[in-house]
Amino acid sequence: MRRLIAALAALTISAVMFAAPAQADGHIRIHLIHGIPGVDVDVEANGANVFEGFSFGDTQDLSAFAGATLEGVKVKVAGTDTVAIDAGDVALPADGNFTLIAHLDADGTPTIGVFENNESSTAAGEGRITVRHTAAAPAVDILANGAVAFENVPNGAGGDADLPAGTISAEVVPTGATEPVVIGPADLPITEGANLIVYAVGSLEDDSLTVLTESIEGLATPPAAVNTGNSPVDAAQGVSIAAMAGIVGIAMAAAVAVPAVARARG
Amino acid sequence: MKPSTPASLAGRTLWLIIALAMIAAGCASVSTSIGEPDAAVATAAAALEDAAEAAVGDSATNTPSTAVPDSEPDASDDAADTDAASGDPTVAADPDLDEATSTNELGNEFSDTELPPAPIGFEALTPEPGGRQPVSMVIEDIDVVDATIIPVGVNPDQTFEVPPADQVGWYRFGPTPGEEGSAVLAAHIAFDGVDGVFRHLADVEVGAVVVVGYDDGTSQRYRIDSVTDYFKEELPPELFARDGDSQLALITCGGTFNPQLRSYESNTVAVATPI
Repeated sequence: MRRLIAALAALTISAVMFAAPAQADGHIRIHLIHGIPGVDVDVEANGANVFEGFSFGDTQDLSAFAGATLEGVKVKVAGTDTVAIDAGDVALPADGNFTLIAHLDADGTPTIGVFENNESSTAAGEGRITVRHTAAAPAVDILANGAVAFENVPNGAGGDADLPAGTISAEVVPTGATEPVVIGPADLPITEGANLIVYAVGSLEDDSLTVLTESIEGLATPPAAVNTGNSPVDAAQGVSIAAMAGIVGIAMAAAVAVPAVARARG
Repeated sequence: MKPSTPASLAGRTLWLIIALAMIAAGCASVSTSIGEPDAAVATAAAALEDAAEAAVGDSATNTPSTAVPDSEPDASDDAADTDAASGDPTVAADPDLDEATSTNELGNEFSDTELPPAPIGFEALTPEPGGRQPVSMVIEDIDVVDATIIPVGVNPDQTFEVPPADQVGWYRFGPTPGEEGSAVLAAHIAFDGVDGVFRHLADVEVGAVVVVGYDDGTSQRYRIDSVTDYFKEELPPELFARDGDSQLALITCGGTFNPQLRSYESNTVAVATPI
């Protein structure tokens, strides 16, 4: 079971006071994801366990600690003092949208990756797909609908793309090769106005590769315009139609008159 | 700011009030969706104070619930929260905080910082089957008789994908009519000289009934609350709100027709709410 020990709360009231001013601009979102398959962990900060029994895929909202520095952060194998990741002091951003993910580096060593999420609005009709390489595997190419969308992505890196809402087929392959397929092919939903973030996690060597996902919503933009008519309606447009008729009438009269003058001169 | 409108002054005044309310609701909904952590921060701050007090005497028994923030609060924890909140004048004095306190399960710690686990594997991305979809519309007052509703999106230039003159387009990226948020249904006033379904939308009376039929055979009745004209470039984005109170935004064109551009300068918007 995940537990957030009350002792931390007592220790970090000052951290929350730091967070309060940043709260005003509405741009705090810091999530922590456990992205290492098969290992339950305890997370220690400020000398005490803050989460216990944090399992693969578990997510914690750290937004309350925005702007604070968590001292002596250690990720330990659950129920033991075995330190898997000694992250030292972790200074959390004061504002913005971030995801911290405990994951394996390219060599299989646990680490914590920090990614800033792209909160910009998506165009009407589009959604955003973000792919992040957080697995113990070499650099990869990420294919969307069979074409390389992200090339030579090393562990700890990623990219995003805005695409029309719908479904894309995604595959992850070693850089410069089409096989073996590391992950996929899989259908990824592109949801209008939302950002689907896909983390490749696990280990190629241990055959434990899979994906974790999170999504950020509320990015939608309304359509640019609603154009619901290309012709006038009688009742409302009587005046302008009459005006147009008048102009046409004058033009026709002129057309008749000009040849008449020409003839007269001839 | 607004062009002339056939709607009554009372109707426009009502709309202004609704628009202001929608803007307020829109702000609130943005902070809920994008700025969810804001609430977490605010509630966590309150929870921290509670937790700090609780930690002194009884930290060992502070077992957070695994419930997600939106789930039904556990009765006993809820009672404890209420006590804690009422004992804290700063929480009680602020209605927003009070609201947050009562709707989030704080327990004695900020268990609301726990989130649902990240979905694992591609299987988790399989979309859930959608709910009912709108398929037909009746507005007897303006001779809309069993008009067909089709789901639409946007054109390549990101304008609304308005269907042919005899159909109504439901903006499928936004809410479904009857669900939370503002469901948008647009139709032509006139296209290529043919009257559109919403030819007489500007004439609809406040109080008129709109019936939306769904593909599962059900229907939902709505009441027209307001009819307003906006210059197209001033169409309120809140009409496309993804959350907030359930409403219909019926949109067509209005105002002056520009024969050179073959376009109207305004949109006529009728807002209706479920009855």
